Amino acid sequence: MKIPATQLRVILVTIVAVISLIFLILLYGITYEHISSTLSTSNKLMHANNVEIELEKLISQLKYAETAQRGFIMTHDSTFLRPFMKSRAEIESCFAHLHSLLAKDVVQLKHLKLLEQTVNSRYDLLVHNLEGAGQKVVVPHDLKAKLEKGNKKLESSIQIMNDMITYQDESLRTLEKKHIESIINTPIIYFTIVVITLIIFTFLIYKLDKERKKLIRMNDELIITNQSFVHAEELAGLGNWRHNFQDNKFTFSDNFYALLGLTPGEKELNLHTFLQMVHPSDRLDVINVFRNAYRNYQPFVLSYRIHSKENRLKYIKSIGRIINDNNNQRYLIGINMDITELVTSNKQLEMKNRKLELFNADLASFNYVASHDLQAPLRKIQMFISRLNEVELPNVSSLGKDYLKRIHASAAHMQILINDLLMFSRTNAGNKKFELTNINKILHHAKEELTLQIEEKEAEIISDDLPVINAIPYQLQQLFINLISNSIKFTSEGTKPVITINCELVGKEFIAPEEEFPSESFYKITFTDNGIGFETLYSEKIFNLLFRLHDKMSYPGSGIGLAICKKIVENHNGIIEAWSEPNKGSKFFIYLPANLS
Amino acid sequence: MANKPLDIILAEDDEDDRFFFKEAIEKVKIKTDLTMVNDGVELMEYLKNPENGKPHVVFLDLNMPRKGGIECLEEIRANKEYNDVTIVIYSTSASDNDIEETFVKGANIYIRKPNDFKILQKVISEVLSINWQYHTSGLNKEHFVLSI
Repeated sequence: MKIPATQLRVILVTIVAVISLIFLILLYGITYEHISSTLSTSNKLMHANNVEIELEKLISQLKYAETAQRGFIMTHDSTFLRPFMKSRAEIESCFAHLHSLLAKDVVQLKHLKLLEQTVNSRYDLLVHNLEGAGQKVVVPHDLKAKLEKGNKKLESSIQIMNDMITYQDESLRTLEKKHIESIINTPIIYFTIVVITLIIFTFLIYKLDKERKKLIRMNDELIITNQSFVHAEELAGLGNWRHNFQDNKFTFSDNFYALLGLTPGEKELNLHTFLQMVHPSDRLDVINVFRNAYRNYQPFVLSYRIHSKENRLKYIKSIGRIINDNNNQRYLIGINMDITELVTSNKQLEMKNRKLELFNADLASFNYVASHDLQAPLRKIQMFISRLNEVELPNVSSLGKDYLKRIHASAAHMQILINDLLMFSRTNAGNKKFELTNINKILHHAKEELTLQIEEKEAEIISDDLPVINAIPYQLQQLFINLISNSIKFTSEGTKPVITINCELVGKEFIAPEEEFPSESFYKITFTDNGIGFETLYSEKIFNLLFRLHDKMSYPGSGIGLAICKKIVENHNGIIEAWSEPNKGSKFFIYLPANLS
Repeated sequence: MANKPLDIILAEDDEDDRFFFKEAIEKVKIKTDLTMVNDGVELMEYLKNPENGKPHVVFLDLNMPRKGGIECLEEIRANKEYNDVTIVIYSTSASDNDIEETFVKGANIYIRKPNDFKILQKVISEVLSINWQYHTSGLNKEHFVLSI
C-alpha cells in the first residue's frame, strides 16, 4: 500500500482548503470594510444635509423675524409680534439642534458660536427696535439707522452661515472624493479575490474528485481482490480469522465457517465455541498455544483435528500471530488450513511405502532363496555329474554318456539362468550408491573376470583412454562384462574376436533432444566387434528380458544379459543402443551422463 | 614337524557337501586331519573342549541350523586364543553382503562352493598350501574371495 503518497495528498488538500478559507475571510473583511466606509460616508452626507437644513431654517426664521418686526413697526399691530416671538423660540431650537449636530466638529463649532453671537445681537437689536416702536413715535431718521444696523447684522449672520455651508460642502466633497476612489477599486479587488478563490476551489474540487475517483477505483480493486481472496481460500481450503483485543470481537472469513461445515454466520463463533469443535485429545494443545499467544504474544503453528458440524474428522493446520494496525488496535490474526487430504494421502503413502518395503524384503529373501537354496541342489547335481564323468564313465554305455552330457548341459544352463535372474533382480533393487568411477579400472576388472573366455578364444580388446564418471561401480563392471562376453561368445568358429572400445563426448541434443536428461553432455562409449552380428530389425528387441536369437546348443545363454545391460544403463540415466548386420559385426552404443555430480 | 598333518575342521550341515569335501581333501597332496561337525553349535562345543587341540584351518559354511557361520566367526574371533586359526568361509552364497560381512568380521578367505569336483580339489589344495602365518599380514579385500 502507498500510505505515504496518500498522506501527502491529504496534506495537500488540507493546505489548499486552508488557503481558500483564508481568502474567503479576507474577502469578507474587505467587503465589511467597504460597506462600513460607505455607510459612514452616507451618514456624514446626511449629517451635512441636516446641518444645511438647520442653517436654512435659521436664515428663514431670522428673515421671518425681520419681516415680523417690520410689519409691527409699520402697523403697530401686535399680531405681528406673535410670529416674531415664535421665530425666537424656533431659532433657539435650531441652535440647540446645530450644537448637537456639530458637537464633534471644532471648526464648525467656532463658526456656530460666532453665528450665535451675531444672531443674538441681531435679536437684541430687533427687540430694542420693537420696544422703541411700541413706546414712542418713531423718528424716521433714527429708524432708518436702526434698520440699517439690523440689516448689517443679518447680512453678517447670513455670511457666517454661508461660510459654514461652504465649509460643510468642502469637507463633504473631500469625503466624497475619497469614497469614490475607494469605491472604484472595490470591484477590481472583489473580482480578483473571487477569481483566485474560484481557482483554488476549482483546484480543490478537481483534487477531491481525483481522490474520490481513485478511492472508488481502489475500492473496486479491493472488492475484486477480496473476491479472488475468497475463491483462493475456497480452493486452498483456507479460512482466516481475527480477534480484536479492544472490543473483544471475532471476525471469521466465509470459508472459515465452511471448514467447520457451517454456513457463514450460522453460529455464534468465538474461542469457546470453536474449542468445542476441536478433537478432545487435541483441545489442550490448542488452548495452550492460544494462551501463549494472548499472554506472551507468541506466534504459533499448530496442527490438530476438529469435528466439523457434519461430524467429519478434519485435520487443520493453524498459524497465528499478534499484529497492531495503524490505529494501534491489537489483533490476533490466524489462518486455518484444511490439511485432511494431505494427511490422508500421506498416510496412504506411508502405507504404500510400508507395503513396498515389505515387498522389497520379500524380494530380498527371494534373492537369497534363489542364490542359496535353489543353487545348492543344482550345484550338487553338477557335482555328481562331474563325479560320474570322472569315476564311472567306463561303466556307462554310449547312450548313457549322451544322457549324461545332456543332463550336464541342462544343469549348466539352469545355473546360468539362476545367476542371471539373480543379477537382473539385483540391478533392479540393490544399493545404488553413485561414486566417481574410473572406467579404465572397470574395464580392467571386467577383463580379469573374463580371463578364461578371453584366453580360450584368444580375444583382443582394444580401448581408448576412458573417462571418470559418476556411476555405480559394480553395475558398470557388470555392464562391461556382459557386453564383452557377448562379443566373445557370438563370434563364428575359427575367428579371433576383436573388440574395440571407443569413447567420445557428445552434447545431449545428439541423443534425444526432446527428452529431459539431467546432463548437458554425455560420454558415448562404443563397443565394436567382429562377431556374427544380427538382423538390424532386432536391434531393439535384443534388450528384452529372455529374448534370444539363437538356440541353446549353438550359443548357450539365458537371454537376460542384455536386459541387465539396459537396466544398468537406465539406472545411470543413460541410453543403450545397438546396430548390426549379419556377419558384419555389431556395435553397442552406451550414452552415460558426463556430469560428475 | 613338516610332516605333521594339518588339523582341519569342516562345519557343514549338508551331508552331500561333507561327502564331496571329504573325498576332495583326501585327494589333496597335503597331509590333513579332517574333523567334520554338523552345525555351529557342534563346532563351538568342539573348539571349547580342551581335549581337542587347536585346529589350523576351519572351513565354515554360512547357512547352518541352530548356529550359523557368521555367529561362529564372531565367537571365534572374539576369543584371543583362536586369533591365529585360519577361517575359510565355504558357502553357496556369493552375495556381496555375506562377503562384506565375513571379511569385516575377520574371516581369512571366502570360497564359493564349486559345481565341479576337480575345481573343488583345486580350491582346497590352493587354500591349504597358503602359508597363512605369513599371509595374514597381507590380507586385503581384493584377494579375499578365492577365484579359481
